Amino acid sequence: MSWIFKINHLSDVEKEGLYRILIPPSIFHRFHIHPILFLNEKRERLVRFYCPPKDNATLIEIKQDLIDQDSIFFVQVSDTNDRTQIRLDFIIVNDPHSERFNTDVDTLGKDTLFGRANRNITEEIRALQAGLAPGQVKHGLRLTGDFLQCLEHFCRILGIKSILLDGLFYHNAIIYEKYGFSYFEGFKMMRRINELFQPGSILCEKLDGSTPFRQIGFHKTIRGRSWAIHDGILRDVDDELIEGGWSSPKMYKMVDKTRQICSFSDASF
Amino acid sequence: MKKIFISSTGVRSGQSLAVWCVGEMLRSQGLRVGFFKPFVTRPVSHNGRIIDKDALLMKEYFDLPEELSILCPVVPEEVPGDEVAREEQLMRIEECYEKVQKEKDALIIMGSEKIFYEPDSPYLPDGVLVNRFNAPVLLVDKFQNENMSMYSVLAIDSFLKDKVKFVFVNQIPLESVDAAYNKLVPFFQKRGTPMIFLVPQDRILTSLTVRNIVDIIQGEVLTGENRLENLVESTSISSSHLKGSLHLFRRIYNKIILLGLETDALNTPLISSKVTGILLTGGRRPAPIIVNTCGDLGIPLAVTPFDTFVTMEKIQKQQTHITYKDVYKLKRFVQLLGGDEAIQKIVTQLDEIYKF
Repeated sequence: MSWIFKINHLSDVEKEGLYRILIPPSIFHRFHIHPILFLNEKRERLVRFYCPPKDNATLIEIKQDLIDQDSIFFVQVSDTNDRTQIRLDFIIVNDPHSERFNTDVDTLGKDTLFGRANRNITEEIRALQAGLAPGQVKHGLRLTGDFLQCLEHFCRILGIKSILLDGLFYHNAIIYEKYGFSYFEGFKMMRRINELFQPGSILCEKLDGSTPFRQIGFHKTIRGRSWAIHDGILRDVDDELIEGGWSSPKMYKMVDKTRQICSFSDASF
Repeated sequence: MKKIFISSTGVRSGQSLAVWCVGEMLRSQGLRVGFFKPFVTRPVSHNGRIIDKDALLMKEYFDLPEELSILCPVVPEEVPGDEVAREEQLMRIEECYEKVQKEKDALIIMGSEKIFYEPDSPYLPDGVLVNRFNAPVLLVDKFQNENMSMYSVLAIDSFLKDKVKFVFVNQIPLESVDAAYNKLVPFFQKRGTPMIFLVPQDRILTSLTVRNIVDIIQGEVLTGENRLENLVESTSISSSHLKGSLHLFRRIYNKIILLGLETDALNTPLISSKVTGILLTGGRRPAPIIVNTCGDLGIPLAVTPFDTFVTMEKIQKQQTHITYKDVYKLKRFVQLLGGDEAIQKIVTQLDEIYKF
């Protein structure tokens, strides 16, 4: 029996006690949330857990105010077929005090599926100009590293050996590399993208200012490349390894064993 | 006219389904079936009035001409629980009883949710009504263990002076079926009465339908309207259930996946659960590709205004009651009871009771 499924059969107090480990402690301090009771100063419970028996996934959400549209912290982890692995389905961190960019919905209010189904170009331009990466609706809180430490600690306690995830966007994959993740699938694509973004190569040449997301110089930064890829630049190139455009790489990290994978050396965000 | 009083040893025993099932058995013998339930125990507001869900089910399914307020006349909350009120209740019950039995060959009288006497219960004890109507009793018992079932049946039969003629021991966990069969059946066969029927716990009977869930969460169906009778045994947020083109849903974090049996698979209940519906939470409208994917695969897709947490809370807390649309549950219950053989046994026994 896999771990999440097993934990979900415990009492609420027990499972919340275990899943609490997944929340970076700085969130409690920063947003004045009691780390044991999950209450704010107005005694409202701001941390919610979805972990019913029979499900093999768990979801934790923290909002600054329960009526807020966006969460401060939203994480979903699930079991895989192998009980020594855990899958990180989603991790979303938003700074509640930052401006919102509606890149997640189109002009009719329909889900863009992170740009897979549709794009809200106006909002994406605003987000780009404000320094956000594709897929973000607000600035983050720079908690990815803290969260991954929490997740590793959780795995260590349970004897889980590896963490799996999909790198949804280019910048996600590069960031996970920096935290010691390696690739099941997609490394060749990542390496090829880096080659083609080198000065004089085809992707770099295509950063010609033809759209706001393909600005000259974008090849130098993780975020710039990610926006260009989100804008479909890979589909404009005839290359065997990046045929069909961006495909989220499948990544993993062995707990306590950091890999030194780097598909974009000297990268800045 | 044949009468049968259907009572229960506890709440959520399957009493409503048993009532529906016996009604259908009697109707299948060509009898004109009537229904009477003295007290509203499963209230629902209907056109500004409180009515009973069982009465509504029976009226709709058997096309009964009587008003709901006649089929189930007494709303306990509307009257104080003193002696005068009790007398008035009894008068009203008898008055309505006279009306519902007219031009019927068989009348099913449904008791309250539990037959055991409780001093603070707003209902007249079933024991009083059984004696008043002088009807044989069918007892529905939600299985806990063999000894408990045996004790409950014997105690009630003794209290009702041998009026318990049939017992449905319901929701027996699969691991207890053998023990229950080996202990209860020989015991009551040797005793001669009551006639006992064992009904195992069943995934079809315990499931909700996608339609039930859509109603509970005030959902809007975006596609798959013709598959809303798919069964839902469990829910999940995990994307591991999403194969093939449903892989696209991995990009959606505000979703709940419904797992169970498709309508076409109700006769092959051993097959494993599959995706029978998907809910999108938080009120966000999905991209057309999502709706089309579900449409192509024949999977109902609904959107609810509530977030994932509230939606799940609603699904878990809500107890749905069977309606006339749940005929698959009726058929399944008859099947588990023993099918035609069980029908014949019950009908013959009732004939015996009313022979003289």
